[in-house]
Amino acid sequence: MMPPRPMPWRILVTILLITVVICWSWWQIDLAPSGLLTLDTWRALGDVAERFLTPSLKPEVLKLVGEATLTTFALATCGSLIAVVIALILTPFACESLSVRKSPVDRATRPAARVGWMLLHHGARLIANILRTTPYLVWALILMLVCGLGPAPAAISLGLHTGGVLTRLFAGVFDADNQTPALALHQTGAGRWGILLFAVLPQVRAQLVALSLYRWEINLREATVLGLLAAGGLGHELAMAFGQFKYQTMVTVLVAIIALVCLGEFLSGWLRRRWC
Amino acid sequence: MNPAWQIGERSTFRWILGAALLLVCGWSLYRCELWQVGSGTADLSLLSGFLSPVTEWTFVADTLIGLADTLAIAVMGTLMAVLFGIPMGILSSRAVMVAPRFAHHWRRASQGWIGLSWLARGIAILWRSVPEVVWAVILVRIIGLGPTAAVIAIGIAYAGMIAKVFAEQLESCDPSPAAALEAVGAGRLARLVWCQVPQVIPGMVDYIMYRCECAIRASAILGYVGGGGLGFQIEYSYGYGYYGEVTTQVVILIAFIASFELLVDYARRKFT
Amino acid sequence: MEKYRSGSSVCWNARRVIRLTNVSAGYAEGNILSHIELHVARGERVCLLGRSGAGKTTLLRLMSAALAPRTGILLLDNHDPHVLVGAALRRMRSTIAIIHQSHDLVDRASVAHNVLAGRLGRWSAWETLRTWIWPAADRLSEVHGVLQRVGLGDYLWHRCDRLSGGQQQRVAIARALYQQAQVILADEPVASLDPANAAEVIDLLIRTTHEDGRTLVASLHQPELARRWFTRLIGVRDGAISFDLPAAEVDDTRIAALFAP
Repeated sequence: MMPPRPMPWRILVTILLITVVICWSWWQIDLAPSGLLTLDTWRALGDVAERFLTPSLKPEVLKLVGEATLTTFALATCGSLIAVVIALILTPFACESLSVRKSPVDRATRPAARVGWMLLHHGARLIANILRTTPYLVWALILMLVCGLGPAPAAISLGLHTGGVLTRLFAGVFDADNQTPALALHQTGAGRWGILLFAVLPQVRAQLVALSLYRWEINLREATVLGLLAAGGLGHELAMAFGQFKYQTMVTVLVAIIALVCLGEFLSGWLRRRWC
Repeated sequence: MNPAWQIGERSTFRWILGAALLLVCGWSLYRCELWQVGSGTADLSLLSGFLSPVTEWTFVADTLIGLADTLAIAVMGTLMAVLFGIPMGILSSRAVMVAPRFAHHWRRASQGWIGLSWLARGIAILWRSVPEVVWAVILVRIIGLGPTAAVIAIGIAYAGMIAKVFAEQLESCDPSPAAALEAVGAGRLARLVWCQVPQVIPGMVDYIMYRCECAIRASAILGYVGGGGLGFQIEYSYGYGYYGEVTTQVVILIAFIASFELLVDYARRKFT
Repeated sequence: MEKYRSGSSVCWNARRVIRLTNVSAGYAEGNILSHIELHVARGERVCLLGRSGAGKTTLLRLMSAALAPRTGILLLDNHDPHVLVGAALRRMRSTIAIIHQSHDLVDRASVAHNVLAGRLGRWSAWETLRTWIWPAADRLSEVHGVLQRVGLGDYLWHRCDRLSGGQQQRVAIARALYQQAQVILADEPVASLDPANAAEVIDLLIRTTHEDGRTLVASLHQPELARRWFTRLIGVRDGAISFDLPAAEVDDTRIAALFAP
């Protein structure tokens, strides 16, 4: 007897759910693709395209864009540095292998200290989650109120958000790594910090560097966005040029953005290969 | 030649590289004027406004509608990104377009395909290197304010990223089943559908869900430049100094993103 | 050549299905095989024996038209396969089945799909897509028949990565059977199986190919299995053929000499 084909219910239900969500989304924002086909849109597109073909190469524009590129680069680098510092501080508490449950060290700890570690662990995770789920836009808005416009609040807000993301990624690496050296060190009587410094960190160092570089690459893109909202740099120049209808300047800025992002992708890839 | 000399050169190289990195980092810190934080313009009294969130039911309902818009923009943007990104990823993947192991006839026959592959790769790079917000600024100028611009902006930027990741996953999965199908005589389409796509489906579903989550965050920012949704409401409240409203809106946004993340995590554990 | 250019199923009609005349072949640099003379007749069950690195796999790759000879002439069914391109090449390949030691199945697909994949070389694009989504009933019953022959009738809809190694090897054999190839080439099909399983799988391979009157060329590490099941043994050593005899005439001294370091 030929076994009957089992109905792939799970797949069918998933497809149905996705279809429902998509239909609802369409209805909710009232998308009208037909609006794209009107003459006005094409005229505007042609208008923009026409101006887009010629970037401005005037020396003063180039100087401005060059300055802005440097600012954006500094913003992304600074944000990533802050993020790495935050992540390195939070990760030993936020990861499971060093603080609670899975870890052999935990069983060797006195009950009172154990409760303390539990609290630290959950506190660190909570902080990391709040940092991560809050969009950096929100951090930027709050910080701009406190310390005004400029690259500093932008760098810090980028750093706070990325710090949360990196903590999560770092904790994943800490928990996934091979536990044998840690156990061996624990046998010799090493404490948490000994294990962290001599067993875990040497193992995960390369991965931490790789993840940080990867986030730096993403931050280059995000720094442009932040600049657009307030902080200066390429995004700011773009918004200014757009507001004043200086299309040619805008094209120069766009080219700079693309070049910067591509350079970042290339550099981080190269460093990762060289270093890790 | 001389191993000791090579090791010496390698570590010298590392030292130079490390010093250069340190210099770049120091310069960045200097350039961002971090020391100015806390000096001068700081006005902490403004912050107290954030501490009294607005909890009126009508306002919360308004916020929820904005959130629904934001979610819908994110979903449609992700959908568009998938519709464009997957074909581009397939076209730009070497594993699909140039079958490496079994065929020596192929290069002769597929110059056109290889050209198409390079074209797809170029478009994907261009699309993803411009951030979605920048796309939105341009599109708002072309098609006017509203969610359509936001959807297309997300769609374009994320299509480039999805194309890259899809191509990478196709290239990094085990090539031997595809080679076995080629040995049977299967063509490019058959290998793709019967073998390569099933191999990468779990990874791709994960990545698309992650992108959808990013799209929710991004569409909150897109609202800020005229894309509608919750971002627009936040900008409005912030601009008029209603910081209590901003708190409510942000808390709702964060709670939604966090619960979406939990849901995706749960579904992943359940389904794989 | 014409027959590969049109039509859907191809039947080989040469008496000597595989002919290698003074063939040398290799990969990047240097030849792995040199001056090979080898003819295989239809319906023969040939076993290649030798140490690893002797050139067995390269020989099988030559026979499957995956590798072109550097010098000499390779004829499959009296044709040179390396003049074919595109659809004709694919149709040619669909007449040769290959079974590897790492069975090369699609892990996440069902057994039925993995077996159905055996005929991908003969279907149009539309049939390929349709069969992937919902295979026709007659195709499925044929697949089921093939799976029953290898003893996996009940596993039609199981996912391949949930099967054991021996079962996966049987699925690979079922794919080769469903492919209805003229020649089945097996590259160490039992290298990853335990002795009992290995004997069973070889038995299955021999029995099914014999029943259908197909040609089988396999490479093995284990001389005792080879002598028990195959009609003709070929010893490969250092890229050359060291003996080519009926199984009955291969004695222990020859085997010992072949495997001596």
